[in-house]
Amino acid sequence: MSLVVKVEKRLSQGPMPAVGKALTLAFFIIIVLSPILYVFFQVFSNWGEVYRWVFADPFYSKIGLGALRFGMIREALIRSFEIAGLVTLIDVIVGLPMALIMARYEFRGKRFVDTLIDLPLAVPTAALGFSLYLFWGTADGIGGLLGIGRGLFSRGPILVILTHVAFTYPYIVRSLKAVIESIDRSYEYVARTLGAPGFTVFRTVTAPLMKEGLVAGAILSFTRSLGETGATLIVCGAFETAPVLIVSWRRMLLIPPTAFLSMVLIATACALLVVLKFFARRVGFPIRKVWPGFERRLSGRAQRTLRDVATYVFFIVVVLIPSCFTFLYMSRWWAGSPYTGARELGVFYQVFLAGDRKYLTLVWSLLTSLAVASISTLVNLLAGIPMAYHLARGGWRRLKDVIDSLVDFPLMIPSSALGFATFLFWGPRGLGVAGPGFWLITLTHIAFTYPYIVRPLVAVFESVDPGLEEAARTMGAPPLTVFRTVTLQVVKPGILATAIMAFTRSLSETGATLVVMGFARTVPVLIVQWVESLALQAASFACVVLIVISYLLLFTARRLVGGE
Amino acid sequence: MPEVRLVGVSKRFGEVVAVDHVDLEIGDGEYFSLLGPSGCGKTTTLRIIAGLVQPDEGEVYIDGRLVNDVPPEDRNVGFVFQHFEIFPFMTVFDNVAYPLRLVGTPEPEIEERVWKVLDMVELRYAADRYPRDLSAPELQKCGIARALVKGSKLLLLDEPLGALDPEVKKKFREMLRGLVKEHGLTAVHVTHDQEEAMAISDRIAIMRRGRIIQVGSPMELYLRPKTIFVANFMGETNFLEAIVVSSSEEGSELRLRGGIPVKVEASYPEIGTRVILAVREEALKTSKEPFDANSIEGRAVSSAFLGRFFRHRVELVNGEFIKVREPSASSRPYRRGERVYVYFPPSKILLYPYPPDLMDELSLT
Amino acid sequence: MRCVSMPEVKVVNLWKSFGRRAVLKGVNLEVEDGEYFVIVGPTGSGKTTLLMILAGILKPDRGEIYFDGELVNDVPPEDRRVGLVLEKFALFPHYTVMENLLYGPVVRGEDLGRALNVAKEMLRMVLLEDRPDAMPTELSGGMKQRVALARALTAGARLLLLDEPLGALDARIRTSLRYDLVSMVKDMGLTAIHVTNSIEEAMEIADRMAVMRDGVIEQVGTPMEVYENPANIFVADFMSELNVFNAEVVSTGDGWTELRTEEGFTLRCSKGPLEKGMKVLAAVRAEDVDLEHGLGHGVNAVPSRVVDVEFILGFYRYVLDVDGRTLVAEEFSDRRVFKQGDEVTAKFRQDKILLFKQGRGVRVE
Repeated sequence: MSLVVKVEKRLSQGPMPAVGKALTLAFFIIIVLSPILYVFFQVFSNWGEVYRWVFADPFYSKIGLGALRFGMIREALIRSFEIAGLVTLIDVIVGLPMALIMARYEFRGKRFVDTLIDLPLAVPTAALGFSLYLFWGTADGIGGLLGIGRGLFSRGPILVILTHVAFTYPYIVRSLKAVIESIDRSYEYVARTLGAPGFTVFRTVTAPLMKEGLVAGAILSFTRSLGETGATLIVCGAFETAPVLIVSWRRMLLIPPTAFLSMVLIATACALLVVLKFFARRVGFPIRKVWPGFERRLSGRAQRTLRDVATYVFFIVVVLIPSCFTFLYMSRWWAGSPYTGARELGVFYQVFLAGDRKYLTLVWSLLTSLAVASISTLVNLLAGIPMAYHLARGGWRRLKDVIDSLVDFPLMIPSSALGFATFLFWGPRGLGVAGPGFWLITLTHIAFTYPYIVRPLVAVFESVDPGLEEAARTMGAPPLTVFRTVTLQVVKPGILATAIMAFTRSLSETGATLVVMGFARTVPVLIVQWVESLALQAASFACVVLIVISYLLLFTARRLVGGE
Repeated sequence: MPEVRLVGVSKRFGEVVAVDHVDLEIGDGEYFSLLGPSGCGKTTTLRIIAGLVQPDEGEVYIDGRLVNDVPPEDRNVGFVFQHFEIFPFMTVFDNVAYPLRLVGTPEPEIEERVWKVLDMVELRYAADRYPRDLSAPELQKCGIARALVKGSKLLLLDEPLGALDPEVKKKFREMLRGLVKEHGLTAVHVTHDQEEAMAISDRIAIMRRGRIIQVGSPMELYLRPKTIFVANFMGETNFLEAIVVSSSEEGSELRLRGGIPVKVEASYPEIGTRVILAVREEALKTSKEPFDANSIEGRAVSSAFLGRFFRHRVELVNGEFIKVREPSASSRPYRRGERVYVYFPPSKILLYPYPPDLMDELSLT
Repeated sequence: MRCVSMPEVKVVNLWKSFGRRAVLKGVNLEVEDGEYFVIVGPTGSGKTTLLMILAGILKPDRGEIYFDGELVNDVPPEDRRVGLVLEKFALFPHYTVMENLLYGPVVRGEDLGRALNVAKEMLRMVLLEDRPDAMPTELSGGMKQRVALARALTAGARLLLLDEPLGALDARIRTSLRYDLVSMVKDMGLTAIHVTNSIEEAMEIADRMAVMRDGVIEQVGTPMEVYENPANIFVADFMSELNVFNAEVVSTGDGWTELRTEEGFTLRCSKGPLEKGMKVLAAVRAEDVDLEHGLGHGVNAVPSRVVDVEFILGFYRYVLDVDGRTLVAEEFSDRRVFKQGDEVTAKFRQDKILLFKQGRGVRVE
C-alpha cells in the first residue's frame, strides 16, 4: 500500500495537479466545446455560400422565393419555441402535484410508482415517438378503444406536444421532487401552527423556497423539448420543428443551410437560457396577499384527493400507457395481422422469417449501440470524474461558474444540431479525422453524454462531507490518496448509477446519431428507418428490445442510489 | 515532543478577518484550550495549526519546525472533529487502522496498535461495527482512537464534545484529559463552552473577533479577567455602574447608582471616574438580615433551584438587578418580593474603566 | 399584557411508532394553566415527537390529547392555536421580520390594524423594535430566536411549544437568554411546554418538569421534588452527578440502615427499617461527599486518592480513585484544598444517601 501512496504523494505535489487540471479542461474544450464553436466558425468563414443557400437560392429566386429556406428556418424555429413553451407550462402544472406526492406521501408500492415515472427515460426517443404515434394516431391505439376506427390525432403539432410532455415528464418530476425534498419541513410545520391551511402553506412558504429549483426544472423541460429530435421526427408529419429540419436537410446533403440553422438554433437556445435565468430571479409569487376563506376550502381533504386522482390519471393516460404502448402493439401483431390474420404482416415473420434478415440487422445495431454506449461512458467517466471533482471543490476559482455553465452546453443544444456540429468538426469538412460511421457516432455520443456524467457527479461530489477528506489528510494521506481511498469510496454507488444513466441515454440517442451515421446503425436509428419504410411491426420489436434493456439498466441504477 | 508556536498569524475570508495577528505559545504536554463565542476565529486557528487552512500572514511552528509549507498529511498531528468524520464505508477497526495502513505498517503491528488504542477508549466491543450502527459517543471514541493510533504527540480537537448530550460530556472530558496526560501528549482543544474549557485545561486562550483577549490558567481567567468581556464570558457575573469616591493602597470606596456605598479591596487611583463594578454570582451572599458591611438591600425576584445551588435574582434598592448563586445546603428559596440583603465581599470585586460601548463589551459574540 | 383563555393540556396514554420503532410508549401528562413545563431527557427519548403530536403535525397511533378539556386529536394544526418555536427557528427567509410576525394574523384573515399593533408590541418586548424590515439572514442566532418567539405570540398562541429553542446558541448565550425567555412567557401569562436535553436548563426555568427516557415519562414534579426525591436510579443519575454502589442490607432499625458495599465499605443511611439481606443500589451525590485530609475508615468514610482536580466556576470537582473505582466529590469554595495525588477520606452525608432496588432501579422509600 505504501508504494502506491508514495506515487500518489508525488503526483499531488508540484506542477502535477495543475497539469492534471489542464488536461481535464483540454479534453472538455476539444471534445465537447470545439465542435459547437466550429459550427459558428464554418458559417462565418463560408458566409458567401451560406448566404446563397439560405437567403438567395438561385433556383428558388427564379420564382421570387430566394429566401425560401430562411423562411423555413424562421417557421421551424417559431414552431419549436411555441411547442417548448406550451410543453413547459403543461409540465409544471401536472408535474408539481406528482412531485409533491412522491416527496411527501408514504404509501406501500411507492417505490414501484417511483420507477414507473422513470419509464419514459428508459424508452429511446425514437421508440417513444413510435409508441405515442401508435397510441394516439392509429386505429390500434386509443382510437380503437373508443371505437372510432382510426387514431385520435394525426401527425402534427398536438401529437408533438403530447410526445414532448411524455418525454419531459420524468425530468420535471424528478427535478421538482429533489427540490421539495431539500426544503426543511420545519418551515411548513411552523406555518401550519400559525394558522395557514395546506394550500396557503404551499403558496406562501414552500413555493417561494422552491423558486430557484422550480425555475431550473422548467428550464430543463424547455431545453429538452427544444432539442428533441428522435421522437419528433416520427410524429411531426409536416409540422417540422427546427431539429427535425436539420435532420431533413442533412439527409439531403444541404450542408450550408444546415450549418446556418444549427448555428441559429444554438445561439437562440443559449440567449434564451441567459434571459430565462436572469428573468427567473425577478419572478416572484404573490406571497403577500392571502385569501383565507378560499384557500381553506382548497385545502380540504376532498380537494386534495381529487387533485391526487387527477394527477395519477394524467400520468397513466398521457405518460405511462402511451410510453409502453409498443408492447401492446407488438403482442397484438406478433403472429400476424389482427385484422386479416396475414402471417407476413406479423412481427415474428417480419423480423425472423422475411428474406432481408431483419434480425441480423437488429443484432448488429444492438452491438453497435452497446459498443458506442460503452466507449462513450467509459471515456466520459475517465475525463468527467476529475472535471466534476474540480468543479465541486471550486478549482479554477473565478472561472468555475463559466466552466460550470459551459458543461451544460450539449444539454441545451438540440441533439441533431450537436450531431451536425460533430460531423462538421471531425468529418471531412473539418479535421478530417473520421468519416460518417461508427467512430463519428462515438465521438458524437461522447460529446453528448458528457454533461450527463459531469452534472450529476458534481452534485455527488458536493454531497461528500469535506470533513471526511480533511480527516484523511490529517491522518497522513496526500490529496490523491484521499480521493482514491475516501472520496471515491463514498460516491461509488453514485458514480455507478450516473454511469448507468449516461449509458442508457447513449443507447436511446437518436437525433445526433441520425446526422452522423453513415452506414453504421444504432438501434434507435434502425427504428426510425423501419418506421419510415413502414415496417412497423419490426420497428415495434426493436423498440421492445431496447426498452427492456434500458429499463433494466435504469432500475439497477435506482436501486444503487436508493440503497444508500 | 511538540510545542506549538504561532507568530502573527492572520487569515481573511473575503472581507471578514477571521484570525487577526494571533500570537500563541503552547508548551509540551499542555492541555490548551481556545475558548470563545461562535465566529471568534478559534476553529480557523486550529485548522491553521493542522494545515487545513493556509494563513495569509505569520508563521506556524510545530516542535520548533516552521510548518507553513508543510501539507497536513506531513504534520503528524491527530485531529478530532466535532462531527466525528468516521468513514462510513469501513468498520471501526478499519477506520482506526487507516493511518497505519497509509504508511505501510505490517498487519501484525497494526492489529496490536489498534487493539491497544481501542482499549484506551473502551471501544473494543464495537470493532466490527459500521458507523451507522454506532451512537454519537461511540463515534467520537472511534474518532479519538483514530487520532491517537499513529502516536502523534500533538492532538487537535475541534469542539469534540459539541455533538454529545450534556451528561455524556463530563465522562468524555475526564477520558480526554486522562489520555492526554497519561501519554504525555499536547492537546489544543477548541470550544465555546467555558465550563468545559475550565474543567479540562491547563491554560486557556479566550478569543473574540479574531483576536486573543487573554491567556491564562482557568484560575487566572476566573479570578483576574482582563476585560469585561472575559469576566462576562467566563460565568455569570454581575455588572454595576459605580463612581470611585476614594482610593488608597488598602482599597477603594465606591458609590453605586442611587448613592449606595461599597468598599472594595482593589485600588483605583482615578478618583471621580465612572467605573464598572464586576462581581461573580457565586461570590455574593444573601440573608434575611443585613450584614455588617457592604450590605445592600433588595427585593427577591425569583429563586431557581439548580440542584446543588439556588440562583436568586434580586432587585436592589437602586433598581438594578443582580444574580446570586448559593449552595442549596446553605440557602433557601425566597418568595417573590421578600426583602433580602446581599453581601458584596470586598476581596471578590473587580473594577473596570467604563467602556465607550458597554453593550458591545457585554455582548457575548 | 395578558392573554385570556389559556389551555390546560392533558395527554392520555399516547403511543407512536415509526415503522417498527416505538418512540412513545404510553405517555401521560398534565400541564396546568400558565405553567412553564419542561420535558427533559437524552436525545432519542421521544420529546420532539411528543411536541409534534401536541402541535398536530404528527398523529398518534393511540391515545388522546385534550386542550382545555376538549379532545383535539382531529383538530388540524392551523386550528389548535399553538405556537411552535424550533431549534433552528424556521424564520421564513423570504419575508422580513415584520412580515414573519404578521404571517399568523394574515393567513387567518384577522384584522390587520390590530395585528400590526400587537406585532409592534411584541417586537418591543423582545428588544427588536428597530429592526422590523430586516431579513432573517441579517440577524444573529439570539435575535432569530426572539423573532421566532414574537411570531408565535403575535399569532395569538395560547400554548407555546418550544423544541430546544436555545439549542443552536453558544453555551454562554444559552444561559443568559433562558431567563429572559421564561420571563417573557410568564409575563404574558401563557402556558409553555419546553423540551430540552439539558438538565441545568430545565431546573432553572421549569415550574414543573418531566424526565423522559425511551418514550416513557419517568417522573414529573417541581425541580426540587425530582432532584431530592428521584423515582428511580435513572432519574437520580440524570439529575445530578451520582456515585453508585452495589450494596446489601446488613442491619436495620427504625430510621436507620447499615449497608455493606461490594467493595467492602460500610454505609449508614437514614431509611429504615428495611429487609435484611436486601440488595440495593446506594447512591450519593457528588455535592454530598465531603473530603478530609488523611486516610480514614469507618461508617460512611472511604479512603481514596485524588486523581484529578477540576475547577469549574466557583467550585471544585475532585475525581477520586478508590481501589480502582471512581468517586466524584464537589466542594464549593474557590480555594483549592486538595491536589492531585493527595490521600483523602471521602465522607458521605448520612441523610443524603439514596437507596434504589437493584434491577429496575426503583427508589426504596
